[in-house]
Amino acid sequence: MGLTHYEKAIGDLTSAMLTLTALAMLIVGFWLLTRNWKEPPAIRSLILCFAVGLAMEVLLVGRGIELNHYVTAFQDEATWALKMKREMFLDRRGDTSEQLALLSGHANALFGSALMILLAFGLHLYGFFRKKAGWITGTLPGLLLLYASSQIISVNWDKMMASGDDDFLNSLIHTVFFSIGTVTLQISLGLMIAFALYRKLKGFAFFRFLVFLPYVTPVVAMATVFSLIFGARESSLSNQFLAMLGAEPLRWIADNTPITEYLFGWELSGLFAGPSLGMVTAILFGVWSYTGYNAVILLAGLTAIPGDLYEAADMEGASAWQSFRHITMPLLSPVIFFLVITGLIGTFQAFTHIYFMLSSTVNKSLHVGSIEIWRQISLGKFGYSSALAVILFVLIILLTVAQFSLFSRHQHFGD
Amino acid sequence: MFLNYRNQENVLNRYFILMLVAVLSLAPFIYMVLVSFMSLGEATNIRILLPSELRFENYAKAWQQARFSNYFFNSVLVTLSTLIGQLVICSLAGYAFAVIRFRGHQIVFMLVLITLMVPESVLISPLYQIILGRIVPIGFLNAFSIMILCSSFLILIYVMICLLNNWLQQNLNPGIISIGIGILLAGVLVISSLNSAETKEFLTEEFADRNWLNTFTVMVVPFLGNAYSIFLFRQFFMQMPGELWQAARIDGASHFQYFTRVVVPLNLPAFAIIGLLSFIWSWNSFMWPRLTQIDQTGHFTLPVGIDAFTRAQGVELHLLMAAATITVLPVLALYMGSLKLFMNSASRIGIKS
Repeated sequence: MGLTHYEKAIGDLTSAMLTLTALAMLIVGFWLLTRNWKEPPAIRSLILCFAVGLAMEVLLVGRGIELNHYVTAFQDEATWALKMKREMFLDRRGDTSEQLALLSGHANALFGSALMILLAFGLHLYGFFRKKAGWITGTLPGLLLLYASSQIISVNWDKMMASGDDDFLNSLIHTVFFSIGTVTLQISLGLMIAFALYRKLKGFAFFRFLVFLPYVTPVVAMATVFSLIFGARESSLSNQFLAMLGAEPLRWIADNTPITEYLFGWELSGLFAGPSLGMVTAILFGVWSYTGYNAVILLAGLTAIPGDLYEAADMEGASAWQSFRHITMPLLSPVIFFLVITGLIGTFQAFTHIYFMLSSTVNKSLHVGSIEIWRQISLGKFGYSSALAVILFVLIILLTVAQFSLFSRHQHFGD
Repeated sequence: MFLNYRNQENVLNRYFILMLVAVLSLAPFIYMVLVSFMSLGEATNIRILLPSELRFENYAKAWQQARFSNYFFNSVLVTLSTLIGQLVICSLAGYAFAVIRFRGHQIVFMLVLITLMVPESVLISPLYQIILGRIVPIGFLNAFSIMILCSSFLILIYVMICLLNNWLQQNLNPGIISIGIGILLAGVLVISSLNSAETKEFLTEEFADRNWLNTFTVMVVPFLGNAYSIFLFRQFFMQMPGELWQAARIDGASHFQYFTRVVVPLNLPAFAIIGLLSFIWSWNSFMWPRLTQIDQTGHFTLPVGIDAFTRAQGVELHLLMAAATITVLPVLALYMGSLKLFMNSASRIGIKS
């Protein structure tokens, strides 16, 4: 079979399958959490939980038994187990007893999460048959599912990192950082600008012109300018600005220290450390160039909301926050949904500006998925790069489908 | 609370935010222009923000020595041909999805929309196989793309003449005239390629029987069909009342006649908006041109040229910034010229989907 490229990229295929199913379960967990549990579970959510949970149970228990079986076989010094050391151990060169303990720990974690899923499903079933509503039958199963799936993901991610292509898997994490950072910032800032532009204002056209300007300018040119402004040299514009404030110069785009270390002084690594300073600079460029676009679209959405709704709310004595929460947000939600979907798809594919910001330095923490794919292409590995690209594509599709299933029912399309 | 309409009377707050945003969105441009006027010493020096004099020779240097004039005209050529081809092909496709009810049109349209989610990097290997002639013979590809380019050119002339008819209240026959112009241009091309070696060289280079590496064609043809443009055109055409098509049909119009004589004149703003968007996309396009222009700088577009310039030994920052300014200027001019259209398009995209 021609799966060798995929095996090389994501390591162990079973672990990858488990991670993907766990991601699906994570989404189901979120869905359960965000629902309003004033009614007992419907048959629909029951079927959803059952389908995902059953697949998960089988995979988890099978994997756990396999791991335990392997550990006992290794302790009995069975020849097949000794031979498979290379595939099973997370760190081949590490201490044998330590690695075995790690493996059985993983097996236990998998069994534990299997139990949790069972419990969540049982609670849901109980609510369905006894017609009980409330947090025990709704929110608690959601929380259990969230915890279990994050457990499964962390266990299997270790395995994938050990056997797969570290660079590519790390680049997926960087992509997630970049994507989430850019999309949340640009939409919230865009909303603020849209509110500032909303209703009559002198110089409206002028400000709208300036706000939208970054979106239309060529990415290549502006990314080059940004890599100059946020350059690692002491003479770069941002460092001069810092010097004016009396701060130490930073290495900006070339810096791969996690941002949490700068902000709080924590020394973390991996997923929990957050994006690096270089990645934050890339996010800044993304926000700079797309906020105006978001603002203009949100502004159009705002002006489409009829003003008499606010007047009616005023008559009822609603506070400013209440009318924002119950009029503006619901009526703006389709626009925000559109922006989130297109923003996530776009940022997962982002390539050009990061490539140009990287042109003056080498910084691994800026390698997002498509940069990694490009690196493989420029090494001449077309087949492998295509496999990576397909994985990225599958992730994008999953993300889009998940968002549609999670949020499209929470939108109010108005009339 | 700022986020409420009632506090909109607090104009100072709003102006403060807007001024901040304006400064932030202008600052990189100003910095770029400032650096482009500096000397190299000033550009790399600490604590110099303003150039000591306006050195226009930087632009001359970037334009001539760094060959950005060459890159600029390549970019213009590629962008304009992509623009024209995309407008013709995508508008026809959008029309088909909006008006013609053929069997399975929804499924086909979904397939088109899915391609929006495909990252460009997914397409690279298969496209590369195709342009190297490994999947279909390159001669077939050449014939196919020449056919597409010619027919979209003919349709363009046809539509132009229809518009002229509308505008001047004339009754020229668009079919005969467009075919006549087509034959005329083909004749001019053949005669000039027989006479001048340069044209002949250009044509053989573009459509020689080997592969498509290092040609202009390869930067144009794969991007003629764009899912986003098709989607936008469909959205615009869907807004037209169905009675128009029924009336035209009763008068005996075919789909093509209805499209060229009714749909296009009524939807000229749509064409302008999508044309502007596709101009920006193809002006910015980098990955594919960079991969297909391998061993010569003759066909580099502006982004690829900037990339090559950045990676050259000892980057001259002031020249780089001058080149960046040259890249930005045409888009800026277009943006200023068509501000209203842009705003309409942006808000339309958000609301209608």
